[in-house]
Amino acid sequence: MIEKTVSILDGNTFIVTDERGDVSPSPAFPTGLFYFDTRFLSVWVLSINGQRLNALSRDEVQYFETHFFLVPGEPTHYIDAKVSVIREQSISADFVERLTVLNHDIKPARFTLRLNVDSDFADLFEVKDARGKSGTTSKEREDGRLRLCYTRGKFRRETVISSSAPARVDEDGMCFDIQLEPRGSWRTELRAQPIIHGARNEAGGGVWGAHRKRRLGQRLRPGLERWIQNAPTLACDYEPLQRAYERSLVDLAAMRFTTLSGGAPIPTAGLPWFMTIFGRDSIFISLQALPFAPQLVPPVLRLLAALQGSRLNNFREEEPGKISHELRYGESAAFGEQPHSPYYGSADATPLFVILLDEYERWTGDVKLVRFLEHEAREALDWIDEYGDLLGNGYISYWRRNKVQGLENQCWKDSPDSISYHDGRLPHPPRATCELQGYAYDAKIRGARLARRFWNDPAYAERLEREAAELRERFNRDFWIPDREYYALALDPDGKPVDALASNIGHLLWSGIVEPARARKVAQHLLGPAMFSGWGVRTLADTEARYNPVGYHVGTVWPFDNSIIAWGLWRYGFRHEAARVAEAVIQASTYFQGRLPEAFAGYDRALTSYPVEYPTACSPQGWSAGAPLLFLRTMLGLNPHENHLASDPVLPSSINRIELSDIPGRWGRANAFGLRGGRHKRQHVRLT
Amino acid sequence: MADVIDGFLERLSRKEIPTVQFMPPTVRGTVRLDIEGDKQIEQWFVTLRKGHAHVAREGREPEAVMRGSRPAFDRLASGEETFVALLFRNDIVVEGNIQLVDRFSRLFPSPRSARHPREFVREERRKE
Repeated sequence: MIEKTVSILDGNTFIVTDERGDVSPSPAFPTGLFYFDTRFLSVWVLSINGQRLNALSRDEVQYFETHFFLVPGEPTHYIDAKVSVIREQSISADFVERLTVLNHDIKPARFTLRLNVDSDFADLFEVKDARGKSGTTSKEREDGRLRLCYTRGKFRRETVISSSAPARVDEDGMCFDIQLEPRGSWRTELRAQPIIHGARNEAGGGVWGAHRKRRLGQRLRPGLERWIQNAPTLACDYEPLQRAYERSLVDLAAMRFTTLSGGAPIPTAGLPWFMTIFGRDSIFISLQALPFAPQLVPPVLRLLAALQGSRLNNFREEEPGKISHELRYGESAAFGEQPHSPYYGSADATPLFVILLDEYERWTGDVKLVRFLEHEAREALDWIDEYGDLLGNGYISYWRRNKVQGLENQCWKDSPDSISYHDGRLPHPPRATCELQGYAYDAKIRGARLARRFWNDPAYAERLEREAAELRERFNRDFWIPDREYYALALDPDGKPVDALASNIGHLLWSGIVEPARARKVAQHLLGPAMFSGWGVRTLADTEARYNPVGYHVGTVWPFDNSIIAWGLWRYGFRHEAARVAEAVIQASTYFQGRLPEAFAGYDRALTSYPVEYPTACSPQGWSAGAPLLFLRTMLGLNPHENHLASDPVLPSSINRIELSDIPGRWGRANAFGLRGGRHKRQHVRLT
Repeated sequence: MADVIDGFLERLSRKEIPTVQFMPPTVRGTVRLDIEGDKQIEQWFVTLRKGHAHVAREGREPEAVMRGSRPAFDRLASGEETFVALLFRNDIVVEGNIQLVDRFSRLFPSPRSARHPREFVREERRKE
């Protein structure tokens, strides 16, 4: 990053500022206060006696709080300042800034402090490329407060700015005349309230008002302490792992989002672009975090069940039983300019929904939820064969029906060039990517377990198992490329293999669809020089025509992808290979203060000696924060059983000892302990 | 497109709405629809229970209330627009259990333009 931005967030609300705590228009580095996909502040600039301030230092106290220590003037020719400003910014339902002005002079002094504010009420989709707004904006002064409004029909958004100290309010902000004795100080608390109108014209009515009221009552600090206390405690002799784990826990806490319907929070995909509900991302983060924070899972499953498709819709790509891809709350979704109300363009979220439900029961024993969601899980399983199989050939494939805003690739690698042949050609749709078939196989196997054990339907279980066996046989016949000895990235509409070598084959190991005799070959490819950069497994092998070390899904290394790959290697018994992948990504995290970015470049480790961050990656990123957690599970070889947690650790060469205590699950709480060298197979009986 | 919403609710009461099959048996509760006409507000009560929808013109205290103009409800009932979009732009206002309203709203039909994905693929491939 050339220009550094600072963010604080609380799931639904976040503010991105520059290094001095100001928000000002910048097309390259969007800043502002955001809430439910709308920018509520696009200007928030502080000046003293007409001079902008500059930061001497900054303390990022917590994910929801930053303190800036500022003085007027340019930092290049710094002269001892006679005045300084402390800016304590925090965020929850509102954005609050506590200002302290200090006079360092031996004489009394007068200052004029000014805050400039404005809002463009941009939809998140307009922030990157600014467009003219269809509605009207207005500003109102009232009672020492400034109210910024945006109205389009009955759609109304407001930002109300107020100060605890008396202010001279004008349309562009507020001014304070301050008179200070020697070494005196002056304080005020500024507040910006983002308000969505829900019922008629009364502010704070309806479901929006109820949501805001709930968030006004929350207390973030004790909430965070509780979250950390509930998570297992890690003690290990490898500092990067310790740091990545602790960073991940806090980042996952920060990215929790409460939906309009309230209830427990769900994990979101990442700051700043993806702070909303994504079917795929929320499911994967839940899977990664399951041994650490199982409480994230029920709200995700319930919400996705509530949004499950029931009709056909081309614009939103909805089908009965389909799990949604993305829900947005902003103006573009409300007025049908974007399809996210919700949008259903993902071919993997539906089988993944069933997989998460089963995995959750295996860890927690929460049979009630499995029974409660039986109907939705069956709908999801039906979707695989009825709507997911576009060609009637027994494979899930996708082809966007929304030809304007729809995604060309509806798998996790959703950029337009991610699925290609070895020679670089792009296949015609529909495309049946390999990992989708793995997920479908796994969903059927897991669905069968749920049907037999909890839904009292052995006939359905047998049918699912038979279908899974047939799928596995068909898949191993059609996707395997004998002369290259790997599974094709996809099948094209003619049933021919799309023959690029890509990281998707690692997901196949996780799903269990790989013939055991072929697993070694798959593992060798993943850890071979074409795919393994030294910092992890590349999304696309460097032997492929479209390989680009800085291409979003065609050569970069994704911590999330690697965490699933390591889990897959574990499943087939490649424990040392799994540990090596985990070790590489954890080592990379040291270059990002323990916070793994969305992706880093696929350059060979020998070439750059440090991992190069992908340019516009989100940070923090949901499933990157989840990756260290899943790596821990894989290295410790954690596996849930009826009444105990089994652990079979294999550690990489840089780690000698890992101790994870108070792992929650159906056994109560259990501990796992790993030492390098010997394999310590342990069965931990109920502890609490 | 006069009275699209009334027609929908009447078909729903006669069990002629196919999307009911996607209503999980676990969903339970009553949604009151307040449909604002030129002169008066018409009320309907839809009770969801055990995978069925029961429609009435009178009822008890509902778990949720949906309020909006007749054209807004007509757009919902024709499948032209979704509840979520109408809610987000305040054309439909909800009080109470929003998840129940979400569930109820999934009963509204597909728009006319909708295609089964397989049919869509066949049509697209024929064009080539």
